[in-house]
Amino acid sequence: MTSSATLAATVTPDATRPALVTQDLSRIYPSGEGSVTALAPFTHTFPQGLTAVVGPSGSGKSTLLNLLAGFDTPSSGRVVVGGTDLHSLSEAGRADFRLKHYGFVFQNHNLVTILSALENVEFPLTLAGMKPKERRERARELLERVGLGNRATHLPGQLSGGEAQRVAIARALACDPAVLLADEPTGNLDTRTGQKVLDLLTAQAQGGRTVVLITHDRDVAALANHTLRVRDGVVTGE
Amino acid sequence: MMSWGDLWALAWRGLTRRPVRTLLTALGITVAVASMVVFLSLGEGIRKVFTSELGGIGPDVQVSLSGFTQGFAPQPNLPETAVGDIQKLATELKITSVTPVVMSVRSSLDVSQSVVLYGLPAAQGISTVFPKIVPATGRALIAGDEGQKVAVVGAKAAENLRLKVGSTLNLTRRTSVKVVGVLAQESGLVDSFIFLPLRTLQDAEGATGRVSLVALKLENPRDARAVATALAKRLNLEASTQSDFLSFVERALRISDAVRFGISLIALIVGGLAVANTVMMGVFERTREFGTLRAIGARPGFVRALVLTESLLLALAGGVGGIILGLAGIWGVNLYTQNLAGIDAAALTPRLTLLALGISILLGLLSGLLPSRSASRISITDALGRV
Repeated sequence: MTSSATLAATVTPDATRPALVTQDLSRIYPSGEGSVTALAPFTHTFPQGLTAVVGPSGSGKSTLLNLLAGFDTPSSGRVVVGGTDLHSLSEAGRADFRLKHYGFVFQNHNLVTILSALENVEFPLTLAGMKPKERRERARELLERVGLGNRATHLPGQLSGGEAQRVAIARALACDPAVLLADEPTGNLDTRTGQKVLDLLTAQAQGGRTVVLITHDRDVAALANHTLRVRDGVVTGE
Repeated sequence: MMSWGDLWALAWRGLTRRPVRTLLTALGITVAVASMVVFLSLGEGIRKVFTSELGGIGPDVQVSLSGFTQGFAPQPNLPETAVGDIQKLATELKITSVTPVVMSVRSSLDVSQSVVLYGLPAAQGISTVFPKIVPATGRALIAGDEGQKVAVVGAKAAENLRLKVGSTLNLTRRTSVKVVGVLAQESGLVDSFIFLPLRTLQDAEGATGRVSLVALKLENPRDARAVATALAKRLNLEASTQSDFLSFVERALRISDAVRFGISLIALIVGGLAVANTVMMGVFERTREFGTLRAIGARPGFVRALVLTESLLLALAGGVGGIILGLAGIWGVNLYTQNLAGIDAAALTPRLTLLALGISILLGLLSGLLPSRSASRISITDALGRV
């Protein structure tokens, strides 16, 4: 495994990529007559490179990810990317914003089962309105990059878990996003397959993307340039 | 923004994910649309028969004691003196021929045995009112036939009643006539007519001195409405033009169209509910997928459009299938009515095709409204949390 010290040294900053910033971001759920604080006010600037968010189950990691992605609405505070407050946008505006600036890797690959590996990678480019020939070339290039050029026509059901997750990473990179959000991407994979996925994510971090990796695995967290710990909704730095 | 082509291709892939379910639902729509097409094609076919066949050959004006709207009198009820009254006005109103007609319908429980007895002056001949008709065997009516017990039979009537030249046809217990000619097939209602000399039919019907109507031909058929109005006013009789007759038929057909459409609507509603159910099930099954699409950058509107397109495609595929199946049904109906009366009672007209496609599209849109709304409102966090 690559050590975190090695990775930190190799991150190449990219000044053109916007920073991911949270300002007093919090999420409180009503519960009966009271309320539950899922995330206490949290202000942070995510640097380029790999940031691991660690904590036990139910600590608030997924709440943070949902707010960072714009899937959920914060009770207070803001998520700002490149000067744009994500939650000030409309539903459609947030979708466009995610398409342009974010890439997602989920614990389950979440590929569209009726589309081939190539078509899955093409999908965000199709949403972005790219011409068929260009998007096909781009998708092929991305599949080659994750080592699956020979599996382009396979359906997700015909791929192994690790291969499907690598296709999901290729899909996440399709629109060249500044931010990659990965939620337990190796959670369903064996160690060897998981390592390949982590290698791909760390390579993105080295290239100057902001990669936020949610994990409860300390070995995985050890690869990160930065680590945030979440416990009972409170986020603290390393 | 995704192009329409990409959206339709994706919707098609979504439908073919569960081919059997999709096929069964499309079949439901196919049967519903086919039943609508066959039901409504009956009206279209009858319209065609009246406009293209009767419309071109009937009298310009017909005078009777009771009009179309009062119903057809079973017995001749117009005094024959009306013929003389009309003839007095012939020059003034530019009437070229005045033909007294006696009509009698012989209806039977067996529709193929039903015929129309049509009596007109033998000297004027059948061609006065129906110029296109010629005998296939034997001869037409001639002047010397007046009052004689002879008949000229339409092609379908001859076939159904097994008549040929020389056969005897019993009009009543006391009156029988000899067939002297069989007419060539016209593919129209006239094929079921039996033409007789006026006096012969009047005697047989016990209607001496009375006729059913007086058929008029005009120097200028465009004056038909004005002549009909003038005759009705001056003779205190009902006078109708061809277009009056056709519009009466049209009104009657519209009412029957509405009844037949109402019956088909039940099948269409059931088909629409089947589409809604299939698409809704698809939405539930694909909640996680829709959540993922939304997460990676699809707008709610895209998900709505995708589901609506699936519903539309399903209904449209069923609609096209329904038109094809309907055509087969129409062919079957026409085979039956050709044997029966020599007419194509059903027809698939362009407007009926457009209506069937339009109904299919509307059905697809309505059926897809609720599922597409549900799909577009899926919460990303809930959807991704679902295994």
